[in-house]
Parts: sequence; structure tokens; C-alpha cells
Amino acid sequence: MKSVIVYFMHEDELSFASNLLSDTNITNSFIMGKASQSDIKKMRQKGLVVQELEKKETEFGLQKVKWKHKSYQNREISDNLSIGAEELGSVIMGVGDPISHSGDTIALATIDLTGENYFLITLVGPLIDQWKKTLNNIDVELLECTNNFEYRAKLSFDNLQDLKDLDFVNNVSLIDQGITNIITESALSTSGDNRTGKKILKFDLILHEPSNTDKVLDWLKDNSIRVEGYSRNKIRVYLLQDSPYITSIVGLKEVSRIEEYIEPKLFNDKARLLLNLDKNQSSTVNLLGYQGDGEIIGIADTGIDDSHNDFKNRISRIFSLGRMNDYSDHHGHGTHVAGSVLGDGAESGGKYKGTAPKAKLIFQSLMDSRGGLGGLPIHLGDLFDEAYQLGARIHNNSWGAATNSRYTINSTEVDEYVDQNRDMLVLFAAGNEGAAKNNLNAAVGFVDWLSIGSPASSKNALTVGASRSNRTSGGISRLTYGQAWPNDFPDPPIADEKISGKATSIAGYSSRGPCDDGRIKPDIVAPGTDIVSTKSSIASIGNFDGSVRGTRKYAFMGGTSMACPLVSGCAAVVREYYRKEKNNDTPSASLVKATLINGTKELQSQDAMSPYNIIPNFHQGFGRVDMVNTIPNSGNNNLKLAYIDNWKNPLSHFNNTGDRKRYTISVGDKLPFRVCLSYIDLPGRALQNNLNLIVEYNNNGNRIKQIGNEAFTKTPGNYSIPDTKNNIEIVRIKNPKPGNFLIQVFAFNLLRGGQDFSLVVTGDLRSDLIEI
Amino acid sequence: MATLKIIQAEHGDCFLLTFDKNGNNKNMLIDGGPRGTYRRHLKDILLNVNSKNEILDFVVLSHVDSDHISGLLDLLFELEEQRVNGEQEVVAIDQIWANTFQNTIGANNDIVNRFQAVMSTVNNMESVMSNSAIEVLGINQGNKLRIQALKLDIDLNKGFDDELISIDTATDTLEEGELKITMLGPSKENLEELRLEWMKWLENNENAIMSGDFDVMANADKSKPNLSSIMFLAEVNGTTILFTGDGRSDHLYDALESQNLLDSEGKIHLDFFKVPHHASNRNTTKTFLKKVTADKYIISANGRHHNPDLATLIWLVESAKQRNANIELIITNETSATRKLLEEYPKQEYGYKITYLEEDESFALIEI
Repeated sequence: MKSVIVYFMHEDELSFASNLLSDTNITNSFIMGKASQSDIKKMRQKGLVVQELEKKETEFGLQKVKWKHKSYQNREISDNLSIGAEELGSVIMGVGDPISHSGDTIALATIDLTGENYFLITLVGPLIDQWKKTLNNIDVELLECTNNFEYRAKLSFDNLQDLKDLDFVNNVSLIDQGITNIITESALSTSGDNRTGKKILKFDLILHEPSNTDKVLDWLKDNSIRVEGYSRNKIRVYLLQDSPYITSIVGLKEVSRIEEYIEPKLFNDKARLLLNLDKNQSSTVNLLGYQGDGEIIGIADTGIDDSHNDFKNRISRIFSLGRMNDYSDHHGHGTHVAGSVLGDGAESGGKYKGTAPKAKLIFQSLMDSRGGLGGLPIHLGDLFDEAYQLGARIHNNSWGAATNSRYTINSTEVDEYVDQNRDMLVLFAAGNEGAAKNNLNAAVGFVDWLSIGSPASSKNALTVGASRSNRTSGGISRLTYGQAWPNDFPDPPIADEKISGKATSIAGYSSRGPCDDGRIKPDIVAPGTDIVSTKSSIASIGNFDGSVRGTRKYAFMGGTSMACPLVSGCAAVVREYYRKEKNNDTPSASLVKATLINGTKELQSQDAMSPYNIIPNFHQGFGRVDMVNTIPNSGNNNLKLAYIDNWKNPLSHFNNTGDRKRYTISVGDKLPFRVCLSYIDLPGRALQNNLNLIVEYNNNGNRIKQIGNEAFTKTPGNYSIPDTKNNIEIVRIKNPKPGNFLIQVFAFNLLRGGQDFSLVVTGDLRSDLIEI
Repeated sequence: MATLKIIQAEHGDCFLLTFDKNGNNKNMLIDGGPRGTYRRHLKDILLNVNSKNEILDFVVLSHVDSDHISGLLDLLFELEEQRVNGEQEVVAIDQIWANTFQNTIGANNDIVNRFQAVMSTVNNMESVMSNSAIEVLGINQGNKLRIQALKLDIDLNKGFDDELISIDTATDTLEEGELKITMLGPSKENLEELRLEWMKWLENNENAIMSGDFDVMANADKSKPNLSSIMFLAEVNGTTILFTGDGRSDHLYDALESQNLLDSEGKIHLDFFKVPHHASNRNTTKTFLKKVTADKYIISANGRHHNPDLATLIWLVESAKQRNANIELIITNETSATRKLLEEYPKQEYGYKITYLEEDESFALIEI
């Protein structure tokens, strides 16, 4: 007998499964129990989705691919967090020896065995309401989901035996105060240098409570540890690599997390994107009829040339965060980014304009006097909120830190902010760390995985990678990747490919996913090589990738920095659509995200797919922004859009594991049928609340079910199981048979109640979404 | 007639050597000076080259440092702009010789990262740092030079192994018309030594920062090791000119020895000697200047960073006095050190004279 989860959409499916299963736990959307191999077969023949629980190796698909990660000393890791917690540097005891950090073992003596302590608990399945209550009764507090059915929890030793005795608990192990992730990126760098000197690193300390700040600051002062700054519950300090103080800080009760802080940088320094907002792209905007009118977009970047006519009368506010009363743009990056979002082409007769040329701008200048991004506040929430308070609902960030796909404190802060301000869409450039050298995972000559920056690795941001522009001249388009960056792209085919020209390919340097928990990133790509946009008049042409014929008002640049603002402008267009066409003045961030992702074009070049040939994947995420197929427009007459966005309606939120919502919709066959589910998750490295999507249609009397991100989750037996990694799921049916489609959104695993979601459906729709 | 133009490059270097090959003029530009040099002085000189239907046959960048490379980059950016717009280009360039930080010292990113960490910490201590670390190391500028060369179809380090200009990759004397070039730096040994010095510097400063040693930290920038310079001996019709960039005299002396250019007493006498590193006393020694001597010394400096150092000037004139020679110091700008030298070391007694560039002159012309 095997433990299984059977997902159902109809009462008859439930009763069919109940009859075959023993030891059942039934929720509103799935049933857990034990079944024989032959009964599993029967259920599958009936068209039910069956997930076998015990054997982890049966879960393959991309979400179970193992990879090697530079930050973990190239050891092979999977997403299985019972390994993951260890790999991340938690001190795990009870199950084995303490894990050492950079050679130093953290003393066991830091654990107080008498009070409450932190444990890692593994359950046998999703956290159903009944189990939640049982755990509550023995004072086990689940703090964070670390992966799928694994939780960080707080309890006292007195209740440990009761917990271990529960039949739905698989494993319990003691961890330290909950501190994870003191992996230091630079400490692990694989340089060949034989040196005895130690590096100075910056570390962020996260405190359990902001009220602990003074106490910890005093302690730091007493120990002569230099503090760079602090905000809310966060303190940034300088420590020497391998400093014994790291262990001491881990031992402080007030500290919940310590992590090396990697300085963010601009994401243009490598290449120039495809921003000539391709000719067809800007005409697309005209086709749609929306230009971001009424939208306010926040941009945090170097500085801005506010005298450029392309922004005339549309800059609402400029903050000088990096230099006192000075927001000028000597670098050129910020002005270029702003032009891609909302430049109106006034200086070029409309030739070079952004994707939202009627939107308004709130600009936050970050560049400090030494050329760094010193204007970034210690706590990123403060950055977004400054713009939000003045009406910005889209925030563009073409910067980040090179942290090898890790979920950092900065990533956590982005997730936290969006969780608390659910109509603020925060966009991040994925990073320019893509490289095809010393590959750990990809084939020679193909770009390796796991190079997403942070906060780009956050769950609730929209993370934008760079595809190639179709330019065949100008900028650095005619150079090859091998010529421009010989160290990063030493081998063909990528070494011999031109930087731009092939628009179905990904920019070599565009950072690749997944995140280190296996989550898909980037979410989306947009052109990001050899992009033309506004040039700051005081920036040297040497800061750009090239001059533009006949004008000094524009210049070429490239990078995911240039792809991101194109998507920010498109997001403004999407918001405008919902406001004007759907009377929705408050679309959530997840609705805008779902809309853009639902409409993408799938890029088919080998470098955009390799080696799995499926979408979504870790090169292009869910594909390239494609506005003509995203929202209804005059150039695509059959395209209709229906949606659910329930963040403002608490009665429709999911409160218990198993809760579901079902919708029917009538669909014609003139266009592909597409569904996208997106939701804002609680902060935390893995999904805290896992929602899933199933679409069902009728084919000659048979119910055909298609699961969200099906290709991504496919098992060797060709059975898909619900996605446990992503808070975005898509179903795409290329040639739908006319008829009614049934869409089920359900809470597969909820840590906390009150979960909302956004659902976008497009195609040749013949009805609206009708809840049943 | 071959000529050398000593171009006004303020605190940097910029020279144009013109020589004959089969009755045609050939031009070699050595360094481009800091920002402003191109616009104020170099551009007109190059327009003049172009007007005679000549080209820059060689552009040599001694090392990637803003007071040597910026003028070259300004030229390359303007060339691109002109090409994009289909306009007449200032001048054509056939090939560039240049080493980057990466292919000499910083083969891995770790040195760069550590350097940035030190500099950003030091900067937080509110000491003066005008440039970001990456600019100080010239990594961006080096890359830009390489990319511009690619975009403009200019050969870079063509014919040198590993695309590195060094004694070890240019073992034979290079000849072009009446010009003969003997490479004198860097050598692989020099590069390794410099790399270790960088490691040592990083270590010292990192330790100083952690232990709060403010004195060391305050000197972080000043105490940085140099980058390696391309150094070479040029001979035009028997006239010798030693080009040294910001190189070090000990490395230079070793190279002169290994290339068999020293006499039995370990000495060499030149016609022209470009004094290394704007006559900083960190790059030369009194002994060295006694052994390596010249009729005319070229010093490109304007007082910035205390260059030329008075000490260096004194060593030069003492060396002249000792060997009873009459020397000429061709200095691009009058500074407090040059005035002091004249005050304290009488010209007649020490046997020297100083020639400055006139205030409104873009260059001094030396006929060879």
C-alpha cells in the first residue's frame, strides 16, 4: 500500500477515490489515504490526478532536477529541504553532528534546553486543518514552511515526545535559534589565490523584534563591531571573514538571522539591450491604445536628467537619496532606464520611446558620491514605501546583488513589502551573471543555471530577464558573446553567437534560474541587448554601448537593467486596461503579473530551452512579453480576457488546506486557451501557502485534466503532479475544443489562512468566468 | 625627419612619435593623457596627421590608468560616433597595443572584489576617494578600450602570444621602417611580483580595517602598488628614446640587463629618457638614475600627486654633476618642485637646464 494524494474536481470523483482508499483524510479538493498499486492505476484510468507520496524519486520533472550550486561548494543539492536546511548552514542537532561553518563549529552550548526551542518538522502530507489543530493543542507553533511538508517550528522539549508520537509527523530535528543561511558568498569564492589574509564582509542581522535593536547595538559597541546602519529590525555590521563574533551573534537570543550582505550593483554593465523598443513593439503599444495614462511609476536608479524633453511635464517627484540635493545622472543608467519605461520620443519624432509614454514618474536617485548605490535604505521596504505613498503602484529596480540565486534578506524584504501592500507591483532585473564557463549544470557552450540576483530571487516581485533584440547593427550588436566577454563565454555555440539579432534567443549574460529552492526565475523576459533609450546629457558616451546616428539625446545600452523597464511600462499599460476596460481601479500586483505572464511568447531557440525543451524553464521563465496576445486589442479581434482578483474580498480567501474555487467558462476554438494563476505569498524562502491550478475539459466524454506548469512537474510515468515550487502557474491549450472548461484553484497546503489569488484567462472566450 | 611630440597631458602622459618607412611617415601614439587632453590638445594634432593622409599606425597604451587611457578612449568614442553618422573620422588607427588589469594582474575576480571591499570601507571612514574601485583598477576602462577596438575593427595586440604585450611575448626586436623597438616590460616575473604585492596590500589593509588601524587606512590609496606598464626602448636612426609609462626602475633595470643593453659597468646612456611615473620618487632610485642616464629627460607632470618629486629631480641633477654632463629636463609644466630645484641646485653648478611647455602650447616638438 502506498500513501497517495488524489485530486478531485467532482463529487463522483471523490466517491470513486474514497471507495478505493483506506486511512483517508478528506479536504474540499483532495483526499489523502493509502492505496494499492492497482487501485492507483484504476484512479488514473478514471482521469484522476494521483500523487504518490512516499517515494520522493518518483517526483521528477524539472522541479525535482538536482543541480550543483557554487555557494554550496559545488555539492549536488536538490530542493529537498531536509538536506536544504543543512546545506544552508543551519545547525542541526539530534539527527547528526553539528554542521560547521567555514571550519568553525558552532557551540552546542548556545542552545538552552529548558525553554522553547526551534525544530524542523516533516509531515507526511499537506497541513490539513485537523493536523493544525492537533499541533496547536500540544503547543507546537509552526513558524515557516521550509519546503513542501517541512516546517520550522517552535516548541519546548516537554512536548517533543507527543509530537514524535503523531502519526502524521515523519521527522523532527532540533535546529538552532532558527538561524539559517550564513553562507558567505565571498568566503566561498573559488579563487586560486593562496592567501592568508581575511576579507572584510558586511553582514545583516535580523532581530526577532525591532525593540531589541538598542540592546543588540549596545552589545556590538561593547565588542567594537562596526555598524554601518540599522532600520526597523535590521542591523548591518562589518565582520572579518571567519570572525569568531559570527558565532557569538548566532548565540544572541535577539537575533533571528544573520547573512552576508552583498553590495547591489547596476545590471547594465555587461551588455546593452534591445530597447529600440522594437519597432513592432512600439507600434504594439499604439495598437493597444493604452500608454500608461494615469499610472505613476517609481524608479530607483542612479539619477535622472530631468531636462530631457522625453519626460517633459511627467516627472512628479525626484528624491535624492544618494547625494545631498543632487539627483543628476553622470552615469546615464537611470535616465536610460526611465526612457524605456516612459520616454515619449519627443526628441526623436516618436522613434525612440518607452512602453508607457504617458505615465508619470517618481524617481529615487540612489547613486552616491563614490559611484555606488549608497542611496539604498538599509531596509528595502522604506524604498518602495516612499514611492507608494505618493501613488506609485509599479516600481522598477534595475539593480541587485550577485548572490547565485539565493533567497537573501533583501529578497525577504521585497516579499514582505508586497505581502503588506498587495497592489504594489515591484519589478527587478534578473541580473547579468549569466555565463557559460566552468559549468556545473549546463552543457559546454550553453549558459549555466543558478545565477539569479537578489532581490530578484524574491517570490512576489516580477523578475525580468533579457532576451536578445533583433538589431543587426548599432551598439555592440555585431560583436559575438565570445568577443565581448571572452572570460564568460569561452566556448561555442554561445561564444560565436552575435549579441543581438536573433530575437528568439536569450541574452548570454541574462541571469538564469532556478532560485536555490528550485523556484522558476526569471518570471519573464524582454529585449535586453542593444537597446536605444534616453541619454543623460552629462553622462559620457563611454558609459554606453554606442552612439545613435544623428542624435546625442539617445544612446545604446544593454543588460537585464534595460529589459526590466520595458516590462514596467507594459505593466502600466495592463493596469490602465483594468482601470478603463474592467472598472478595476485597484488591480493587485499578482493580477498584473498574471496578465503579463499569461500573454507571453515562448522562445524556441535552443539556448532558450536547453536542455529540457519545456516552458516554463530557467532561461526565459514563462516566456517573452507579448502585448498583442496579453490584453484585448484591435489587432487581435478574437482575444478576450476574463479574470478573478479577490484580494479586496476576504470572504473569498482560502483559510484551510483543501479549500477550492471552481469556475466554468465557455471557450471557442479561434485562439489558444490560456490560464494563469498568480498569488502573493508570505515572506520565506519556500512557498508558505501553496495554491494550485487544474483545468479540465471534455474530450469525447472523457474528462481531461491539465495541471498548472504541467511540463515542469512531469514525472517519468508522464503523470503530472501539482507544482510545489511556484506561486505562478500556467495552463496553455493550443487548440481547444469548443465547449465549457472547468478551472479549479485550490489550497494544496496553507500555513496561514486569508490567502487571495489572481486568475487570468484569455482566448476565444464566449462567456465570463462563472463560479460554481 | 623623425619627430617626437611631447603633448600637454597635465598629470598624465601623451606622446606622438613620427618616423619614416620607405619615404612615408609613420605615427606611433603613446598614451592619451587624462580627460581633457584629447579635446584640448590631442584632437588637433591628430586632425593634422589625417590632413597629411597619414594614420596612427600604432597606438600604445602603457597601462590602464585614467591619466594615460582617458584621452585614447575619448578618441575611440568620437571615432565611433563619426562612423555611426557617416562623418569624416578624425584619424584612422591601424593597431593598438595594450594590456588590461585582467590579463596582467587580476586574472580572477577575487582581487577586484577584495579591493572594492577595502575601498568602500575606507571610504566609509570619510577619507578622500575620488573614484570607485573599479575605476581605480581601470577594469572598466580596459574593457572599453578592447570593445571599442573590436567595434572599430582595430587590431589589438596582434601577433603577441596570449594577446599580452610583454618581454616574453616580444622576444625579438620589432622593426618598422627606421624605428626599432626593444621591449623592456613587463616580464612574467614582474607581473607575478606585482600580483603578490597586491595580495599583500589587500591583506594589510583588511587587517588594518578590522583592528581599527586608522593610519594604515588613511594611506590605503596612496600605498597601492602600481599596475604594470609597457616599457620599451625606441631607436630611430640611432637616436635612443626610453619609454617607461608608470613603470618601476628595478623592473626596468632587470630588463635592460636581460636584453643585454648595459655596458660592463652596468650602465646605459640614452638620448632621451621618459622618466617613469611623472618622476615620482616611488618609481626610481638615486642609484638607478646614476646608471641609466640620458642627455635629455622628459617629464610629463603638473604637480598633482606631488609629481615631479623634488627628490627625483635632485637625483637627476646630482647624477649629471657627478659625471660632469650637461642635461636638459623637458618638463611639461612648471611646479613648486621645479622652482625649488632651480632655487637650491644652481643650473650652472649642476649642469642642467629646464625647458617647459609654453602655457598656450599643445606640445613641444623634438626633432630627432
